[in-house]
Amino acid sequence: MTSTKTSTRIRTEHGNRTIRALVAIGAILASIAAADTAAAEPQSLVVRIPAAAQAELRREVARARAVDVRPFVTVQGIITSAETAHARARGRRAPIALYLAKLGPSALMPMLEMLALDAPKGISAKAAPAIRRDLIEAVGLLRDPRALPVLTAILDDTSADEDTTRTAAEAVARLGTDEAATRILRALDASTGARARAILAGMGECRRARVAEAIAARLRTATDDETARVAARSLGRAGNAWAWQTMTDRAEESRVRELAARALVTAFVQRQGEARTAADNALMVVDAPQTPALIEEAKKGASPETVRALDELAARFARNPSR
Amino acid sequence: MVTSRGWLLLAAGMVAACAAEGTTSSTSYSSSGGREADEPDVLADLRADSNRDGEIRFDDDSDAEDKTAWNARTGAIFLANIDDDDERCRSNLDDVTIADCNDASDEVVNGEDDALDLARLKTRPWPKTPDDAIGHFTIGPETKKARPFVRLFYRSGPGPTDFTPLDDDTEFYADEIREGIELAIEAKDIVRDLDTWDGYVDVVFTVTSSKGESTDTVRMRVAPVLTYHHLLPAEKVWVSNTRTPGNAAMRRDLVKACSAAGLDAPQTIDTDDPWTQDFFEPAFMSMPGPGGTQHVMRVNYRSANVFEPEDEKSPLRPAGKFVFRMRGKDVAGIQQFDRKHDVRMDTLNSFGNFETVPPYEKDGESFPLGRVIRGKTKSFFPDPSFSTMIEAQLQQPPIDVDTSWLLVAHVDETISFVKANTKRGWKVLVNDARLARKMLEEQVQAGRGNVPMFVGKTWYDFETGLERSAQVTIRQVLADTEVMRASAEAAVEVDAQLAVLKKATGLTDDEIIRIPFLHTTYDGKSVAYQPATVNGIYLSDTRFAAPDPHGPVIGGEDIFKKAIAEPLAELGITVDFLEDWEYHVGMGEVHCGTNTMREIPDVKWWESGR
Repeated sequence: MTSTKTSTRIRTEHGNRTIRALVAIGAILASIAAADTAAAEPQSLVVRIPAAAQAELRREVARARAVDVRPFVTVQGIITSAETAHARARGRRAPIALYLAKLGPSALMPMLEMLALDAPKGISAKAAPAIRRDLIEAVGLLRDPRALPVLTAILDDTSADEDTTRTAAEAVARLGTDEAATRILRALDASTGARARAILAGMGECRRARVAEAIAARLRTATDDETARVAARSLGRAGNAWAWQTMTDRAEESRVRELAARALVTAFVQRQGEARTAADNALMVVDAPQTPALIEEAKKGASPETVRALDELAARFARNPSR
Repeated sequence: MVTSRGWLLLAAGMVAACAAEGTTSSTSYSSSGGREADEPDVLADLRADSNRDGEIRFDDDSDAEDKTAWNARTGAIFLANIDDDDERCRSNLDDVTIADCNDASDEVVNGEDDALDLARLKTRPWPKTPDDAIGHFTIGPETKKARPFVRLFYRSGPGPTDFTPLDDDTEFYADEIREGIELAIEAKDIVRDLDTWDGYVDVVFTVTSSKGESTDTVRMRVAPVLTYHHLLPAEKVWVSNTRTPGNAAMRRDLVKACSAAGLDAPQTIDTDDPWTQDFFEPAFMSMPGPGGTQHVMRVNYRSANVFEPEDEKSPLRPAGKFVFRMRGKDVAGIQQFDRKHDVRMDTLNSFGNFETVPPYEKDGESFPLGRVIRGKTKSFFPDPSFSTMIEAQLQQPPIDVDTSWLLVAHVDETISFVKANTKRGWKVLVNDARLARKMLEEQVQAGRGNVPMFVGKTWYDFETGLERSAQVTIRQVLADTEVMRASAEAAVEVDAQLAVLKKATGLTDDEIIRIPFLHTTYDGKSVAYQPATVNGIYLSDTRFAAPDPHGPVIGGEDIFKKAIAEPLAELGITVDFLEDWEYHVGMGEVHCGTNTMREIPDVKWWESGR
């Protein structure tokens, strides 16, 4: 096949007039000005960061814009079209974050500007939360430590919805630095209930031992199955053997995978239903060599039902579908 | 003629009718003969097509035996008459009212075609009926829940549509009873909730006179709605026409694939919604017709996707109105939704998350029409009211797998089915990310890590000149943390789906065809990183249309094309690769962007025993 371009069309809200997708940067800008969508309240999308950090960000943004304005135009263009793209995507979530991240490092400052200085233009209030999450996720995927002040400010916003908090936790986690780990743990410590679950869900992307230990602790102490399920999945991500094989710094790999496996086997014994299933699946992706021994240990003194379940777990691990 | 053995009190009928009406007896006349002198003056003998041969017989007992029972062997059937034979219903109404119009929504027989959709009941003509006899029909107390859902007509003239609605006050006089009374029955709706109505109705005929009373009962059941499994030959293919270049490319290739499969060109649906699989699900209902045939009404479910939960009048996915545009002669549209269902789970209501496992038997239990398979867990589930409706059909009890780890969360992202010349008759296609990774690792080991994939493809462009090439080398893919993390999870999660399917069906490893592609992550969940070749459309016994994977070309051959084409070739199936990159980057593939209506199976649902 020779068709290589993806394209989209932007449909105005009034009438069914379909406008051919824009063909040039100038046309994108013109469309923004002409957009008849109900605009979001811009500042509701902008997170407050400390004054010094804001000043520094303004300087960096200005520098980036002076060097090359095109990434700013490109990011705005994608954001402007995101609502339409989401509406047309299967499951109503187009991979806007992936598109943005594919722009590479030059997209960082335009996106941070939208998150912390000037809200993106031309998007409706209804679409704004999802598009903001796209920006947060895309920033995280760039793994640039300069994003930390903005991302942690979003993470620390206790008024944020759970999806935003989860996305922010995931983005901070992807930075992978000591400071990022510290900020995630601090946010988790200060959180309970749904907000804690949202942070737990995202923090598994940080493959640091102390982060994994914190997830494991929450898994052990969870008083509800939902938290246990989320924690088990997140621990699976932290210990994910395939992910570790892509990393340049693997110093903590063994420790993370072992502690994940230990906590997951315990959770498997303690939990039933979906939480047990989550622990089971997470053990497979962690694929820690200690797992068979941990399972054998767990069988001691366990009920017949639990022993049977552990035997099945051991059998599955022996033919681990991820191996 | 009647012999001395003529009068046969059918115990089952008597018990049922006594229980039903509290009357003295229930009688059915045995056609094996009886003496005229033994004939009663008063006889209620009501029959429907209980033997399911498409006729109502009084010349033998085949419609009389066990007519108050309903099981795999016996029991009369009727349809929910919800098509629109004279095409009077409008399809441009809001979501509250659009489904209200159908042939059962009024009290008239809407033409000769409509009359054919009504199952019949007849009373035995009884010349000895006393002059003062009065006959009337009721719904038996065991099935009193059927009352709001069932309409009875009586023949009121010689023409094919001369039927008049029966009500509680309708009485029939002696001359009518002597000649025999013909009734027609329709359900006003399908069964949506077994607690509300289980689909059964006992029609009771009572004749009273100064010379005694006679009562008779026939049990009937409304036909369930059944979906097509993948092995049934496709009759019609649909695809949305969204007028984008990527859509045009896919449609072009689909036309060729349909032609190769011996099918007409796909019918296009003019909509902005490219996910043709998702917004409706073709299905059917049937009842026995003459000569062992089935009288069929095609049905299309509208997806319960709520796109505008705050809009009380039109909350649903707009493209789903297509099912009501198709409503017509012997074609019905059904919608069922709770506007307040959890929108975070709304994607599960798309019909990409509603497939039908082909027929099988396991442990002595038979599923001759297959079983629904869908993504559903305790904490992540489709609209409960829609699930209740599907489960109430009883014939294709759902198999639930966990799709909650997927962003789109549809079962068609990882599983499909094809025909196979095996004892079971089919095999399952499942995604295997582990195999995909292994294939790529082997290429690296062979020194081909720099071979590109997704050549010429872009992740995004908006025709702005801002396109970003999607091209990537094998080595880069294997080094991508997000792709590897998500792919490991996919390997494990699909294995868990497969375990459920194996447990339900008894599938063995040699009945599983593993289709390799990797996943990546977005919004905290998993999506196909490569075009998901399992997500194709099975067009005929010998053609499967899959997405072009745009994989690495080694020795002149795309290794991911080969990975699906070779195992299917062993089953005599040719794979047609369709350009669907625009769909792929929109989180779907070929199957998601198409739909099929298939042939009515020879298997008759009423013989299933469910």
